[in-house]
Amino acid sequence: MTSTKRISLYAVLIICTAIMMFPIFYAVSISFMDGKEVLDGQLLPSGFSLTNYVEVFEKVPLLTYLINSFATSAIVMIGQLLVSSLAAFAFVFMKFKGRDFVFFLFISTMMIPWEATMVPNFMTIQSLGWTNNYVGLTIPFFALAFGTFLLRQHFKTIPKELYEASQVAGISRFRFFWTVILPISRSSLVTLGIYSFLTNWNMYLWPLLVTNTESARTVQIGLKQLQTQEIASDWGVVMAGVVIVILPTLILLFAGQKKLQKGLTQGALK
Amino acid sequence: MNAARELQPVQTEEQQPRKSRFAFLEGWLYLLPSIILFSVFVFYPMFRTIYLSFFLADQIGPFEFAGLENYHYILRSDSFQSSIKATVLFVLFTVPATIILALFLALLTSEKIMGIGIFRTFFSSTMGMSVAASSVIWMFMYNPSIGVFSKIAEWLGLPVIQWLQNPDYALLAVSLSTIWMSTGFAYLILLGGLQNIDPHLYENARVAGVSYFYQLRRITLPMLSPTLFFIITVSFINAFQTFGQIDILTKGGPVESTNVIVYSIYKDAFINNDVGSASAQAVILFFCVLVLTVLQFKLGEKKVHYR
Amino acid sequence: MVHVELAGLKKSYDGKKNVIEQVDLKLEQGEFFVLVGPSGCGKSTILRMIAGLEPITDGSLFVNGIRMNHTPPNKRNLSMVFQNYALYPHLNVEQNIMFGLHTKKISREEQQRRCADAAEMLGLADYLERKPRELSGGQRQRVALARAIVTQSPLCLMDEPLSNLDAKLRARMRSEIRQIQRKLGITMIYVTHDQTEAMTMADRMMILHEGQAMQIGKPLDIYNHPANAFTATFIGSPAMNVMDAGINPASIHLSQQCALPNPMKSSVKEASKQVLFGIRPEHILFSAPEQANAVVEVVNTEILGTETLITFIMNDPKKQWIARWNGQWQFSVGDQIPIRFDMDSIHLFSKDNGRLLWTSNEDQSNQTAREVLR
Ligand SMILES: Nc1ncnc2c1ncn2[C@@H]1O[C@H](COP(=O)(O)OP(=O)(O)OP(=O)(O)O)[C@@H](O)[C@H]1O
Ligand SMILES: [Mg+2]
Repeated sequence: MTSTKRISLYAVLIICTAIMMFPIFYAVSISFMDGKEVLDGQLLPSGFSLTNYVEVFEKVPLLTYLINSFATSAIVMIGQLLVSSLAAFAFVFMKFKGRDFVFFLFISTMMIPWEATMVPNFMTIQSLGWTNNYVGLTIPFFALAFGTFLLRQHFKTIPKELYEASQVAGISRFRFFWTVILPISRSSLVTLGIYSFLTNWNMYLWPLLVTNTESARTVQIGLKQLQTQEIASDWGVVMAGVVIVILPTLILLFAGQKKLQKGLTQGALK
Repeated sequence: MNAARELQPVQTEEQQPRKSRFAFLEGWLYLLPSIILFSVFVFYPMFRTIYLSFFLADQIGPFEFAGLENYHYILRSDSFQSSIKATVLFVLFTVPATIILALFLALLTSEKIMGIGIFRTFFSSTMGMSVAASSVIWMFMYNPSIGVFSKIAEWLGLPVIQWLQNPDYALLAVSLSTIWMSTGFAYLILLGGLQNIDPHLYENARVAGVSYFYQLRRITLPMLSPTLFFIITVSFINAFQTFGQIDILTKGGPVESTNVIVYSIYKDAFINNDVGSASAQAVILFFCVLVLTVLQFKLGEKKVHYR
Repeated sequence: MVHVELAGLKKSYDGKKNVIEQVDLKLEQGEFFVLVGPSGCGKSTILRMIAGLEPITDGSLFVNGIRMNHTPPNKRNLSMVFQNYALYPHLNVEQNIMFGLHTKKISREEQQRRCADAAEMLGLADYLERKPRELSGGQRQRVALARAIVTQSPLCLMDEPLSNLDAKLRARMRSEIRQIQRKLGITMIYVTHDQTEAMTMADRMMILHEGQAMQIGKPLDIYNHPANAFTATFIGSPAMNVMDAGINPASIHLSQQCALPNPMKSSVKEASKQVLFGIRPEHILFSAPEQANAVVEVVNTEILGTETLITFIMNDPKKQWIARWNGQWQFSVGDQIPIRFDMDSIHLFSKDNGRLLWTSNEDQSNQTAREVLR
């Protein structure tokens, strides 16, 4: 590459970054401003005062929300990893009657938009008394066709000989799954784990439906609450809330971006 | 000796069915958690939705069989028609723009140069942004008195627009924010697809001396077509299911100009307590997604190059 | 006429360690030149620098006397065949062969004619409509070859083009590539890690080791007169037998029992200096007991039909040597056999740097004549 080409490429990259990152940068910037600075429409804060951050924890029980979000995301992540890897293992390493039919069922779940089923789902959760607690927020998401396919893709690359050797050695299937397959597939599991944590942390509609008490709410609903309460009066506090909520996922994404990109592309194709 | 030899086949014959029956059970055992969960939270509610769509119902349950009444009603209602229109427009505004923007960024960052990792991280960062957080930020940016868009308009001497309050602009504004939110994911997938292309193909092209756009047209896009196809399908489905940004930014308004179908379902079921009508709309949504997926796969088979 | 010249070529990927150290080389027009060496020695790197796919860190590349260091690949007037063939999976054979021809400003008819000619030459005429995945490995290889041929470039670069084929097909493609190269009169730079390929195909070759040229020359010259211990053991199969030996003005000591007369009496000053003693398997001879240099224990025999490879223990059990004798010899494991070394064919290498210290001064013609007679 010639150096003029290189310089212009960097220039374009920097412009794109400026545009794409602007909303995030803007939010961070506002979160340090006091009310007057916000109303003046400034781009940069005059100082890095943490008042807004302190205040946001006073205005809404943000800590409870954070704990709720963290707990539900972690539970769903573990649940999805377990349930998906079990199913993927069966699809790859076992041959039995009805397997192909079940596989078709899995595919068909991808075509049913979750929003089309939310009304009866809500009624189910309500009749089971699972509203406003972790069970209702997590259990419905444990089975994930996408996750099963992603892991199945990876399991298929594991040499069949490994399985045959374990059978010759007389190791039970479950033991083989637990002590051989899962450790080998660590990188796929991490990819799926990051993906499921991200999606669940960011989930909006379902928590909106099944939680209505402050003790059960998640951060995303907390943001909505914050924004509705604070409208036009104190955007600095709202943005402090936003920054706190996006921080964990952004960190997770920055750390796992390479893995995620590799893993998701693999799962998406083939 | 003889006896033993005769015994053997008998023994295996006896063992075979038991073993395979066990394998059969074991296989299903591994699938059981998924099957139960899918049954309870995907298949049952899907059938239940279809069932409810034939009834007058509220959140407690169905109370009167109505036949196709719900469908008749919504298809005739202005509200539903505007909801369909909003949904279709929304999809058309967001999907192509998202894909093109993400593809552009992915092509920009596919070259291995110094510091490229940081740009890749930046461009994929919106994937980590929740819909709620993004919407709140955009809501502020659209704020007619202090938001950045107004400031820019003021600075350029243009009239200030009430982005979210003006029915002519609200859908556009929501679409713009959605494009931003969904670019990260599409970018990440497309970048992965680009990196899966064998670099030797490009080296051969360099030796042959073809132009950048010829390369793009004859190598990159065809080789990327499975990934492109995947992300287009996923983006379409996601766009049909948009809810969060509508709920926070516009609540379906002004004058229903952003009342996309999922928001309309939500409103009917949980605010107007008209579960029958909501279910009928959900069934329509289901068929839209179904037709779209099938159509894309049919088209995809013909057009997409698979290795 | 010199076609390609590398002058003091160097390459470093990280700016610290040189992957290629100082390679000097002149290639004649129409020459088939092979770059050979073990994996990771830098063969591909050199080839890619010549192609312009990798920037040259230091030194110069001349083509037809013109410095080409910064010329883009497509302006260097060369073609290239990649190890994995780099065929476009979504284009059919014909489109693959003609890929990029439009940039050469030749008419559509001419493109088609060239493609048809190349396909004819390589027996691909019936497959033009197929996609690469519908072809066998050998056919794919030929498509890659055809793509190089149609450009009619005077210089062709190949990076291990046969390594994905099975042994039989590889042998056939070797001779096919060689014939095409002769017929078209192109200059070829061919990379391989397989010394048999190098020996059988090359007009001249360069042996590369850790980025350094170990020796450049005709295959037989290199075989008969290796410049150092690395070349000696790398070229030839089975490899040359090498072991440490003590040397004094009078004799070479391979072991307590085995001493040979020192052929280079004059040049050794100190007594009991250490050298590397090397001898090729075919120069170890079966001997009458009274003339034997050593009596050794057989550990394995491989009878290949017209010749037999005998593995035996030389000195200590870990040191196994191989002798190659014409005909079919049947020994049992543990047999003690008397052997003799052909003293005209021994090699002595320095223990410090591996350089050749001494070999028989027999001249070239004599050597070749012996090859023919054997
Ligand atoms: N892009 C690169 N960046 C850094 N180091 C590299 C790069 N390409 C090659 N190397 C290093 O340069 C050395 C020579 O590599 P090269 O590919 O030329 O070997 P080779 O002789 O072609 O080996 P092989 O027979 O395995 O293909 C190796 O040590 C390799 O690790
Ligand atoms: Mg190589």
